[in-house]
Amino acid sequence: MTPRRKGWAILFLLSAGAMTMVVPFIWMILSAFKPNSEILQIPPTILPEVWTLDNFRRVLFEIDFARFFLNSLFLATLKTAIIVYTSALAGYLLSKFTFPGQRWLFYLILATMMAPWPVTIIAQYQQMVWFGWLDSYTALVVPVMMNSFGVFLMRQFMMGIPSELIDAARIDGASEFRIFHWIALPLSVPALSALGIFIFLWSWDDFLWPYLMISRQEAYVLPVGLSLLQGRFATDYGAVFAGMSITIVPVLVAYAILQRKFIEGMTFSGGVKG
Amino acid sequence: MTKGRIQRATSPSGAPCSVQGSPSAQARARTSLLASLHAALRSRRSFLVLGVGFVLGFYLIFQVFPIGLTAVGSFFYWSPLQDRFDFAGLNNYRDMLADPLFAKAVWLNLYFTAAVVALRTALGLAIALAIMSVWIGKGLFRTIYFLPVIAPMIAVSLLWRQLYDPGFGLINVTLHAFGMAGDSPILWLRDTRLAMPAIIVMTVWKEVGYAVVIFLAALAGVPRELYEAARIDGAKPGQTFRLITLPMIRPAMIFVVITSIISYLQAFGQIFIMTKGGPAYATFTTVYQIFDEAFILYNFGKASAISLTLFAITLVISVISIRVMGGDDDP
Repeated sequence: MTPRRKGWAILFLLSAGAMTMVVPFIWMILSAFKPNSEILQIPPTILPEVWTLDNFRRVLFEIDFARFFLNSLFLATLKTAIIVYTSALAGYLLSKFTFPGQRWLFYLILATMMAPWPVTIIAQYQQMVWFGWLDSYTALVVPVMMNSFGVFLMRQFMMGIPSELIDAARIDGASEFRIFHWIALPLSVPALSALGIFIFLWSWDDFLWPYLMISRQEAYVLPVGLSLLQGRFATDYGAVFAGMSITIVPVLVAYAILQRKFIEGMTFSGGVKG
Repeated sequence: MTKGRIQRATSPSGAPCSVQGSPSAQARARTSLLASLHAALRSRRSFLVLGVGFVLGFYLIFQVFPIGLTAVGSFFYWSPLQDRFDFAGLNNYRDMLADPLFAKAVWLNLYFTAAVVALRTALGLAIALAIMSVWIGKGLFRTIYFLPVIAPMIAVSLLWRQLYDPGFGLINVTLHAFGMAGDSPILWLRDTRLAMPAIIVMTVWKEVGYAVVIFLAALAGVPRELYEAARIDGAKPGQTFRLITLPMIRPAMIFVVITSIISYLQAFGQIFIMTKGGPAYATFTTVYQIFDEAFILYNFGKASAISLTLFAITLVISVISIRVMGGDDDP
């Protein structure tokens, strides 16, 4: 094969691969606008013959995905704000201060990243029973208020902030509280925003813990609602496609707008939590 | 009283201050009180104590304690529903080893992990090399291959359940359209031989883009002069790849392999949504067994024993892979 032909062959294969990445999402969105009878129709249609919003109406208001969506949005926003802040604080303490046992605290945080989730989740369930937090959002927020990866990331980032800046502020008489909030935090915005995206996506996707903790249906989050679609409503195909679209499409839209930040956020923090 | 002590400390004469002290002395005393209170709150020490106290407290309560409880609880008959916590000795571990499902689950876990890690790494590298070599659309390809990575796992698993549907699923429909479907539709997730490969394919599809982005970054960091020099020396493409590219991107390779091993040994969402460990336990991995023991049977003791075993397996495999990949430093 001539190099030129080879180049075209590679481009063709890459494009075919890219198609397989995109086509399932397009199929999902188009199917969400088809009535059930058309989804099952043989031979299948590509574009809906009859465009309908009825799937969305059923899933949003009868199966209550509107509520699940708001719950997910509320929890993801709250968790992101808290975790980004605590990560920055811990990262700051670990990178710009020295205190006895600092090294061991850092190792402890790293070690928890290695533990597979079943090792902690079983006893955490028992803990929530003891605390009386079952079926409350406290159980979804407080035990995950700090994230080891976030701490690690912020520590690495804040090591790069010149200590002279902090010392200068101290000489000017600024309090430690003020130095953290007005110097360390603003200088860390690039890392904080990437971390924020990662935490938001992780929370949006979080399934097992809310599934175990929450039994009142009005408090469900989207992934738990999807498991409902997979079970009780599995044969309402239109509703299943609409429910998936409601969960996935906002993320894809945000990605389209902020893609560089997304890739940054995921690549220095992905692959850690299962 | 604190106020008095401060006043005394600041009074040069050492005489006790009283109500009839001069107004300027009183004012001085008041400012110094405020200053010392303020100083206590803003001092490095109290900031450090509060901050480190919070971080340490959190980790002790929500990480160290649960992991410790799991370790202890693996030696107990433990159920949160019956509020039971009775010493069991090694019985949970004995139970685990005697359970024929345990060995099957470990095997399935290793099979799933090995397949996904190998495919994700190899395909990820191949796609990254291909993207580096094309002359248009580099950024677009990167964006598209990364798309499934950011999509939520539970929703994507449900989507793939529909893709694998024997009747209306896009996969069978496509096979049919190209005349590659047999007489009866393929029952992907309901066939004991196909269910696990189907989940592996879905997982690789979802997460190969992550490896692509990591490898792209690593490949961009290889100095151009090395390739120049190799070309001048007349190296063949295969040699260049083996002697320059591979060694230069080894850190990225190790990173992808290790993080993949750790996360796929504990993969759960796609199995829960697509097959629930079935059909006939064909996708019953260790994590699924832990879920089953803990949250279906509420047998927390045995679930803890299996979890710790999984942790041990994770550590051993990670260490071995680091050794293997870092072991051929001087060829």
